Amino acid sequence: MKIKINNKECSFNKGETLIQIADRNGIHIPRFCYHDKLSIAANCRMCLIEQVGVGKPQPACSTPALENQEYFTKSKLAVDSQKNTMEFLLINHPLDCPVCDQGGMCELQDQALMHGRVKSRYEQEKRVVIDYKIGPLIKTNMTRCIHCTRCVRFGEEIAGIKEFGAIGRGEGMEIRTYLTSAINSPMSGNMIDICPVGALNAAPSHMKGRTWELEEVKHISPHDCVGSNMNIHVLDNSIFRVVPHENKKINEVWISDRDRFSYEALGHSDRIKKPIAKINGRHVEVEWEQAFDIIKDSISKIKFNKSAGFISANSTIEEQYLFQKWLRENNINNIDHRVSQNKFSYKKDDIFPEIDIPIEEIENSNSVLLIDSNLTYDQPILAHKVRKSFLKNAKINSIHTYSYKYNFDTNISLLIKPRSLYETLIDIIEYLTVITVNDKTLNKFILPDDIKKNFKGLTNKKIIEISNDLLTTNSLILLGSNLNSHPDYEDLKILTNIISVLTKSNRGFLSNRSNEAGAWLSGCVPNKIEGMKNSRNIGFNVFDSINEHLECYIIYNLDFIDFYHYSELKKSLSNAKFVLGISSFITEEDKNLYDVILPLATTFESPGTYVNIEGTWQSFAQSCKPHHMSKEGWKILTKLRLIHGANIDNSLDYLDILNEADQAIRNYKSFVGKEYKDIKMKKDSNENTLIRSGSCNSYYVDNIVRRSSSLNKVNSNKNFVSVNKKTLEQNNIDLSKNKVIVKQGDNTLLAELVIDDNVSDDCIYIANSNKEHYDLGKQHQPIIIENV
Amino acid sequence: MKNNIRINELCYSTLSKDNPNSFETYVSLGGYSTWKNIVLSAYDKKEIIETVMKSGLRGRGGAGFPTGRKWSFINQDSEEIKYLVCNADESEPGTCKDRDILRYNPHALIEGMLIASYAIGADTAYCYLRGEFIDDVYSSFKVALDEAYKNKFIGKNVLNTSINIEIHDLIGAGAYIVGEETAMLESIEGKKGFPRFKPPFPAVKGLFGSPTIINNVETLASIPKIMENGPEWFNSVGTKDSPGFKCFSVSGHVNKPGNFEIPLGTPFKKLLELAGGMKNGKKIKAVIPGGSSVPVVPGEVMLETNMDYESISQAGSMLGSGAVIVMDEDTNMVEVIHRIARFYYSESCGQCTPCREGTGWMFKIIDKILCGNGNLDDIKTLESIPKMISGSTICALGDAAAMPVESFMKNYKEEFLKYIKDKKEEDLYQEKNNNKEFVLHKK
Repeated sequence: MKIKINNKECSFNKGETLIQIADRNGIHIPRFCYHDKLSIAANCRMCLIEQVGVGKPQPACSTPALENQEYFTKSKLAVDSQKNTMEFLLINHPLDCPVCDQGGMCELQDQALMHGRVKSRYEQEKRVVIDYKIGPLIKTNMTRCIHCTRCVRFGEEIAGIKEFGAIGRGEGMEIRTYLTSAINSPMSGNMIDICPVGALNAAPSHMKGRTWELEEVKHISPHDCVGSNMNIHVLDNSIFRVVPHENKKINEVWISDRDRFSYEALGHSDRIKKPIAKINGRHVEVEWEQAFDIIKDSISKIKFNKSAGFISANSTIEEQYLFQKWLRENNINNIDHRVSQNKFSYKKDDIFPEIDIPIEEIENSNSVLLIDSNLTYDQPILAHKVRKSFLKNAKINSIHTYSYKYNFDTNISLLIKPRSLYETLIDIIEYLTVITVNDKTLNKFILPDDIKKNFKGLTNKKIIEISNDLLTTNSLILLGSNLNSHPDYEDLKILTNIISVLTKSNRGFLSNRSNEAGAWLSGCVPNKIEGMKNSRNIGFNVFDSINEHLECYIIYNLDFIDFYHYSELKKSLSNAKFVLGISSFITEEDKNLYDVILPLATTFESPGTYVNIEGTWQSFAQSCKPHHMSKEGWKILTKLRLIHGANIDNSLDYLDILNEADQAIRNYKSFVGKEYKDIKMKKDSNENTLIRSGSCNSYYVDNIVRRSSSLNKVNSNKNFVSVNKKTLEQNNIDLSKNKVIVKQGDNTLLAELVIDDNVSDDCIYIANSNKEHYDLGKQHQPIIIENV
Repeated sequence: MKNNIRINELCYSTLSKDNPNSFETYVSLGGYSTWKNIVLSAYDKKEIIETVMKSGLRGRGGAGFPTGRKWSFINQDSEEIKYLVCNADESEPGTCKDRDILRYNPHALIEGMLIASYAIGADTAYCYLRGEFIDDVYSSFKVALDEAYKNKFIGKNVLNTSINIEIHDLIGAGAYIVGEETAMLESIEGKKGFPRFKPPFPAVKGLFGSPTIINNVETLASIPKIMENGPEWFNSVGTKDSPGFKCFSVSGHVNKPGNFEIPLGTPFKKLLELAGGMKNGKKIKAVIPGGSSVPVVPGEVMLETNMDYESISQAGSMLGSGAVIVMDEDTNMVEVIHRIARFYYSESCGQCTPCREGTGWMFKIIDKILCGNGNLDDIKTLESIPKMISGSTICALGDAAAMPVESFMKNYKEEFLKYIKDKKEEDLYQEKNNNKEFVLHKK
């Protein structure tokens, strides 16, 4: 079908609106309320254009094109209408562009330049709107609001949490939160981007610079496992702000608040400015050369092959590749990145964070099963995809140990105790084996006897319904990213595999780390070298390395609290002869355990590559030079290799490293293995004790976000424990008091009590969000609750 | 002369009886016989629509769209859920005709709603009353609704047949804009009363996403009699394009303000006579013939005009909702438009830019002029703003706010100029020409 816009012939499909056709054909139509990811509101009236033969101007955003019609976007009628709208918009809009953060990238400013009058005829007083605080991330200046309602629609349609609304009518209409509450969506920062004027601005960068002074560098998100694309805006070699970079396959045009505001950590006081070495029992700042000398000297005095190296799964693939290369060149195979994992039952665990379908396909799933995943807050982008599938009528089921808040509705939500997780999955398998008994494609599949032994007859109807939903085509199972601290984590992965084989559903093993897949591929595990080839010598995993009390430990880009075996690690480090840290941040307390600490450039300050869960390699450039005296990881690691006599060209640059890593890793064998043979199921013995459950606060998951000041202000009250009423009564807790004491081993913590029936029975739920929570003890371990 | 006019025959037919709103009165006048007949003989839906179409009944809410044609947009036989909505949110300043139908002849409305629901194949109907009706108007309607339910004219298995029709009554919260049909749908859905953009039209995608027909109280209350007496009875009165009876609410400087149901095409003179003529025998100055949102017509033009859609349109205005506001020679027209502009300023929903900002701007300028602070630029601006608003908004409130200002400026400009005292008119023009355009200074 064809129409003519400005005498240009344009073809279109039925139902398309004029603005869509014009955009596709490069014809500019001014707009404010229209946004191609949001529903049509048609309220700004800026996009009025002329349809030949129709007296009234037509809004291009909401008018469907009619076959063989002629339209003009620049005729007198159209231009007059646009001018009129512009004049109306500027009546109440303050002309404070010089002090407005949006100035220079303001749609209203641009349109006013193109379509506005030179002088306003309006002489009366302007409207002033009271600003309410809506949280630490967004700075409001609602007097500038032009009521396009993009932010309102974003909340309803994209974030799935309706927080903004239009209150009042006419000129008195205000966009604000209900009951002056704060914005809580983990995607809220996107409202800053879609706001066409300066009503919603980023609070951290408020009044700190002007748009035209910024330099833009593309980057990949260093949080969650999807690798959102973003643009970093740099001002004077420091990051001014972060905005999304469109990638239709991954994050579309959105990024999570965590990706947007985590850069603030760069200026945190924990930042290491210069290399630090322990000289005569005191930590002093030293020069780089001196630091390397000390390292060389110290290592020569110990049995360096009795070392272990731990690297963050947030590090780039180049760093990980060089890290394991350096250590393996020195015959050290005790390399691991799975520091937050609880147990290592299977030495040949080949299941690593991956998803069977591309991220963009998630929205086409017909059913999704979430296994203990706080998806909305831990993986906002994936949650958005699941929400899209929900809007396409997919059934979302959830088995969880805490009733998480989702931004979509769940069909069945099953709250269970953390230690019943694998029993529940076995129940699903039991039902599925009965249902799929006649499925010939499963002939070759033999269910391990250990699982069969656990069959005990089905009673729960919810499980049957969940299983039936999985049997639909295009179903997806997502295993939560906080489960790695669960004692049965590896069994859960195997059971998930079995379920996916039986139901032919897709699996997704989520991770809180941006490059966990990369860490596997680059060989940062004890049993594999780069490219997923089996290692000849199998080293210790992180748990064994800590418990073997080795002579030397090397910790790369990790805080101690990142380790599940946090207290054991500290003990081992204090007994070790040499501890080397390579990190961007260090706390005063952690510093004492290191002998040498090298200042590492953060992910923003170095180039690198991340591999996300769907296996996409995404490289990014350095967005600013390393702050203080820190250096990029690949430089430090290359230098360390040189110290140990590795035969490398001195003039090596980053691209050489990338090429080398690329060649070594790209040809990895397919890692899609659905291993399940050697499964050995164990029963937990301590059935009736109270245990500590919980995940990590999504703004405390890694060493960058936990130092981002604004993000950490989002939920200001963090020192609380949640317990359900029944458990409290069983433990004789006085419900009238709002404080309780929790004990793990010898450690106690005085915390606020929240009576919360979203917690499962016999659990004390603590979302790790400050150091005290780690000092108290580990998750999934016995805990005691007492009255104050 | 008075005897020649057929008055109060249709919607106000119960007015002359004792207890006009009671079920018995209505039934004694032949009420519900049509509905009974339709239900029991399983009347053809198409035939009802054809009858209404033949009668030439036009929507009485203000726009005057032919009712039968509106109904025919819906596919009566499709399985889809359909809705009928009765617009009883009568808030146009000057209009009070629906109020009296609801008060004194609620059963006619209920029967009309039932027939309309049946005709379009809807089994749920909503009657949306304005918030201010909560007192006696609502209770009168509610009592009638209960009576109709009790007598099995509504509900499950109407008159023991397989027909099910439910009528729900709703009370608004006092926003003028909810009288706009799509804003009303939003309000019924529990949302804020914001008009929707069209297309899609409500007949395609209306209430809860289903095809919906929205009719005014008077329109629906006219249906039973039209069905009973036949379309010829109805269109035997009135003019060719405006057949039938219409309720007019006469207010202003007349001796006997009130509602009068008269044949369309009746000369305005006669209507004025019915309303007791001008108060204190003063001269007529101006008339707003169809509610505050239509252009004002000078009195002398109006005296020569007949009360039907075409004649009033020829006089430069609209029949609208039939609220005739009469003003005598002592009326200050600037004060009148000041009041009208303030109304639209505070009732604009705030969705579309031109209406949200323009209504306020117009009011502020009129206010400035009225306070004696105006200048000639203000007059110019005031003349241009209505043109900027009209036709560029989602709903008709923008036009409704613009039309009166435009017509007042056109017909009574000299009164505005009077307020710009102190300076002579020629001086003002001179001043205007001196600083005519903003010149870009080049260095």
